[in-house]
Formats: sequence, C-alpha cells, structure tokens
Amino acid sequence: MSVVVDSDRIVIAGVARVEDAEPLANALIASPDMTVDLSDCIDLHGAVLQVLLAFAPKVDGCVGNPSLETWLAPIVSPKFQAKPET
Amino acid sequence: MDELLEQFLIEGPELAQRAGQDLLALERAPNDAALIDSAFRAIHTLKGSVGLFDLAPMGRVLHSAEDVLDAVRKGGLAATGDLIDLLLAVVDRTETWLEDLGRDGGLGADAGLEADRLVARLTDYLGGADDDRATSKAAPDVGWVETLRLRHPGVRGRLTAVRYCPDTQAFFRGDDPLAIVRAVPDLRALEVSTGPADLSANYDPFLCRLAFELLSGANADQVAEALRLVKDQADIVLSNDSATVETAPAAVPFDKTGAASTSLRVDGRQVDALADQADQLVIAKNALLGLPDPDGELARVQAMIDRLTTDLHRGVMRLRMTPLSPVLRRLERQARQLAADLGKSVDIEVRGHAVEADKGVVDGLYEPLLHLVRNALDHGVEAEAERRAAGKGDRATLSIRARVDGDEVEVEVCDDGRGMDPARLREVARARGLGDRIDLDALSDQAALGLIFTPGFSTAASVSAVSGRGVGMDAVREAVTGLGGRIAIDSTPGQGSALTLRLPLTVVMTRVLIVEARGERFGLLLSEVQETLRIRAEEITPVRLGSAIVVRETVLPYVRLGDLVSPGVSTAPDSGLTVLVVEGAEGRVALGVDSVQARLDVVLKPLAGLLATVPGATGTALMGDGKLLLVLDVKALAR
Repeated sequence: MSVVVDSDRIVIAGVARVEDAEPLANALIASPDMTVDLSDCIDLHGAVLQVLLAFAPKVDGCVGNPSLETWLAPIVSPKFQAKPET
Repeated sequence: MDELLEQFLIEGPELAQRAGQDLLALERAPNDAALIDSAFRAIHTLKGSVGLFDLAPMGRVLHSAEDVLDAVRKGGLAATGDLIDLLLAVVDRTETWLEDLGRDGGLGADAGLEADRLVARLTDYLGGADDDRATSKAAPDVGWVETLRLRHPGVRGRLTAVRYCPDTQAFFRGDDPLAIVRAVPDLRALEVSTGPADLSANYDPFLCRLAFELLSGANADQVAEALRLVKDQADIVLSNDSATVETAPAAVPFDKTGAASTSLRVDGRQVDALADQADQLVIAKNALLGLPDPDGELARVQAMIDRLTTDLHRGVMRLRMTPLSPVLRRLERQARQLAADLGKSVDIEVRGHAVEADKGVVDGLYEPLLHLVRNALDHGVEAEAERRAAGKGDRATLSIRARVDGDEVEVEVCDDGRGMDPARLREVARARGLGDRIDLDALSDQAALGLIFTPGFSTAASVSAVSGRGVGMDAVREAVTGLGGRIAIDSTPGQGSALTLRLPLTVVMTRVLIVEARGERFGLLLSEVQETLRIRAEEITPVRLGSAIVVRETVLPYVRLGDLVSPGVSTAPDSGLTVLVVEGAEGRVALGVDSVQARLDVVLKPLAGLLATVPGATGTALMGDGKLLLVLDVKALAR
C-alpha cells in the first residue's frame, strides 16, 4: 500500500502500482483540494499518472525528486500540458 | 518434408482464412479500419512466408494484393464490393494453391497464368489509387507532428514522432503504457493527456484513457522495436526540421491475435494417434466381456474401467474439436460465386461460425453442404421474373445455419425458392421406374419428399453446369451417413425448402448390434433396428419377386441379410428365423438373419481402400478378439 491519506495531504511512497490508482482516486474524490506528495515516490504506474492528470491536484515533491524530476515534472506541470484529445 | 514448409502449410491456410474472414466482414462494414488492418496483416505475413519458398506466382499475387490493401488502408482506395470480390478471389486461389502445395509439393502447371490474370486485375485498381494518392500527398493525419514539434522548439534535428493511444483495456491486460513509452530510446519530449472523465464517485481508475505523443532522437526502427507490442495502437512518423514528413516504413501494425493466443498448436496426427490409442483401449475393454465371471467381481471392475475409458475417449475427442467457420466461409464464398454465375440475386446468410465439431465431421461436411447449396441456388431459387410473378421479393434468401443441439451439430440449408411438390416427385419417381419398388401412392407427402434421396433421382428438367451430373442427393445422404449423421428435408411448394443435416459432434461410440448371416458376423447400427422378432418359416409369404411377412397387421418386405451380402448363393430356408425390423431407404423392411449376438459400443472407422467400394457398408470396427467387423448401412443395403 503506497497511498497514505494524511490529515492534509495524500502521500504516495515507493513504487505506486496499478492497484494504487483506486485509493488515490477515492481520496481525491473525497477531498479534491488535498495536495499529493510525491517526495518519497520512486516510480508510478500509468494508471496512477492518469488519476493525477484527471483530477489535477496540487503536486508536491516532484521537482527535486531524482527519480521523477526529469520526466514527470514536465508532464504534471500545467505549463507543458497538452490539450486533451477530443 | 522440409520442416519450414511443414510449418508454412499449417500457418498459410490459417492466414488465408483470416484474410478471407476479414474481407467478408469488410463487405458489410467497408470503413472498418481494424478489419482492413487485419486483412492487410494476414496477407503481409503470408507474402513474407511465401518468399521463403520457390513459389513465385503465389508471391506475385500476394504482393499485388498487399499493395492494394495498403492503398485501402491509407485511404487511397475505397473498399468497394468489386475490389473485395477480387481480393476474395485472391484468397480463394491462395487456399487452392496451398492445398496443391500440401498434396503435390507444387502449385500446378497453370499457376503462372492464373497469377498473371489476378495481378493484372489488381494492378488496374492500383493505377487508379496512385493517381488519387498524388493529389492528396500530404496525408491529413500527420499534422499533429508539426504541432508537437512547435510545442517543443528546443528539440531539433531528425526525429521520430510517435502518437500512441493505448486501448481502454490496457490496464486490465497488465500493460503499463507509461512504462512502454518511457522505454523508447533517446526520448526527447513526452506529452501525456487523458481524455475527459467523470470525476464523481463513478470514476473508473482502471479504464485507460491515456494518450501519448513523444519525440525521440532514435531512428524509426529503434522506436518501432520499443513499441513492438503496441504497434497497432501507435503511429510512428519520421520528421525533419525541414517539415517533410514521411510515414515510417516499419510501421506495420503488430498482430495482436498471435500474442494473445493461449492455445497450443499440436500436429493433428499426434491427436489422431492418441485417439487411436484411446479407441484401442475401448476395444481391449470389450474383450473383458468374454471372460467368465462367476462371482461378479469382474463386472464391478469392468464398470469402473468402462467409465474411465469413456471419459478418456471423450477427452481425446474434445481435442479434435475444430470450428465450422472455415467450412462455412468457403461455402459462403462459393454460394456468392454460384449465385453470380447463375445470374440470380440471392442474399446469403451464414450463421454458426463458432460451432465446433470433430475435425473428421467438419472436414467431411463441406462436400455435402456444397451440393445442397448448389441444388438450392440452381433448382430451388427462381429467376427474378418468376419470383415477381409469384408475388415474392426480387431477392431470394439462402441461409446456412449451424447450431449445436445436444450431442449433435445441426446444419440447415434453407432457401425461399420454389420448393418441392410431392405430387411432382411421385410423378418423376414413377417415370424413373421407381414405382416398381415403392408403392408411390401410399407414401405420405413427407415420405414423398424423401424420394429425392433415392439413387438416380433428379427433379431438374435440365441438368445445368452448376449442379452437374452424376452426383445425386443419394450421394449426399450416403456421405452424411458415413459421418454418422442423417439428413432430412422439409419443403413447401412455392415457399422454399429446408434440408437439415444432423451429425454427431464427436466421433462417438456407435452402438451396434452384432448379427450373423451365412456364418459371417456383421454390425448393424442399433439406431436403425426397430425390433427383433422370431418367426417361423411358414410365416414368409412369397410376393411377386420377393417375400413378405406380416408384423402386427402390417405387411413388410422380407429380405435375408445373407442374400444381400452374398447374392446368388441360395440356402435352404431354416425352420426358425430371427427377423430384425429395420428402417430402410424406402420404408420398413424385415431383415432375416441367422442369429443375433451382442450389442456393443464400437468406434466406427470410415471405410478405406478396397472396402470403400463395398456396397451398403458404412464403416468398420475392431472387435475385442482382433477381428474386423463390417458395419452395414441398412438404408443403403435394403434398397
């Protein structure tokens, strides 16, 4: 279980697998304003990324994270976001 | 045989079948890109394999067909009915060539000529397609590459662009599309988007809506290699700074069906060998019957062995189950061709492609069914003018439906043509001299319809090239009986006919009754024996050329089995006689035998070699004592 819901943030730690997409989505449905903390995240599955893109929460700990910064930061940063396919 | 060729002879027909299937489906949905892709892949793979052998004519035809399909795929050519017919002709020819190759080791003398003809017709289409392509050179679907590059001005040079839209089930299959794109070598830019989703409690996080666009510095082949498992979901495009865009040649969509298949390909002969051994076990089991068993212990053990052998036999038989679809598709194509040749407009409906039966049954079905289809189209379906005069729609319907009913497979060939008139059938039968043997007026209308299965019967006023000469419905009936099945007809004058074949799903254990006549043992199909009686010789009354007996106030023709199997040898009539009442081709017959022995479950083997010419025999079975038992087809015998 790598998704832990704290009082004010959702922490994803270690490797987030496909089964983590559901608790993450549930947490974000329950409290859309929570920040998702990726500081301790090493890698994540496409399904988890999809939840992050769909709910677009505030994401912390991506920049400065050696495992994620180079590839994930541009994807989750709104600046580089491609328009969704119609 | 060369191992490579052997493999090709297994794969080739499968690929040809798939191409044929896709093309037929394409006829109904001409714009279905998935079908075009699938047909293209099959032909492409087939062409690739053909190149390994010395099969130049086949290679030429497939190469042209591939070009045509590629043009259709790229939108340069429309999948019109004519074009699909031509491609189906290519598939048909390919299947025939593969059969020739398997049988004779070559394509046959006229292969070059045939190939030239097909290539010429295919090239006609391509000429037109090339013109079309020239006018719409900049294919509209690569615009995204330019915009993608514009969003990443820092990434320059000769790049490979990819747009990858995983299908919605990707997560369920255990794929991680994200990991797949991250494995693309020299990834310079990656964009991920997700389609609009309902963000309420109904949100399904496991439905993949991701779409990726990326730029890589690696060449198209390297990128294609990284995406090989999802090639069918990815567009790979080469792009230079100078904004020229070309579709990567390597972007042949990946064949999903091959990877997803969990089935095991086993040489049919191995299954046959296994089936043979299971059969022999059944025979060995039958030998136990003859052993003395004073305390009943043996009977108990035997019951157990009985059950186990039956289970084993059933399991092995299940291995031999193959779908009917190749046969049905070949029939559908033939039916279309025939209807076109006859100039009749016929809608052809085929159902039951998924029905499975024993390979022997499936393989043996094609010929009789083709004959029924020919008959229906040639004799049953009227010309348009006649249909209009009869107040029917211009287009006739021919339907071929297969379904499983219990432990039988039922195939029905049904037309809405002119049907058959029992009165006319009686008339024809009388004209053909059948009235001497059958009391035609006593026949019910239903029984009169059955006359068409009598040898030498043909209702068509003229014999046409399509239905041909020589093979009558009696041959169809015999073929079906040989497969352990039976055939029935239903017809209403003016409304059409339905012929129904019922065949065992598997090569079942057949229950036979063993009888003795003239000192020889024969098997009779128990299903055809209605009852066994003892009569006295005086009860036999001579009637005209034969004899008859009265069984419960019904007069039945009496024949001695011995006279049927070895005619001309006369023996003195015995004092007490055993008589079997059997259902013959022309009604019930009393069959005299010397004695009735046991009932036995046997595995009926079709007749081969010299035995195939024995009249009235339907198969052989090996007995527990190692002797061969000839099993007789009472219907064919008691004519």
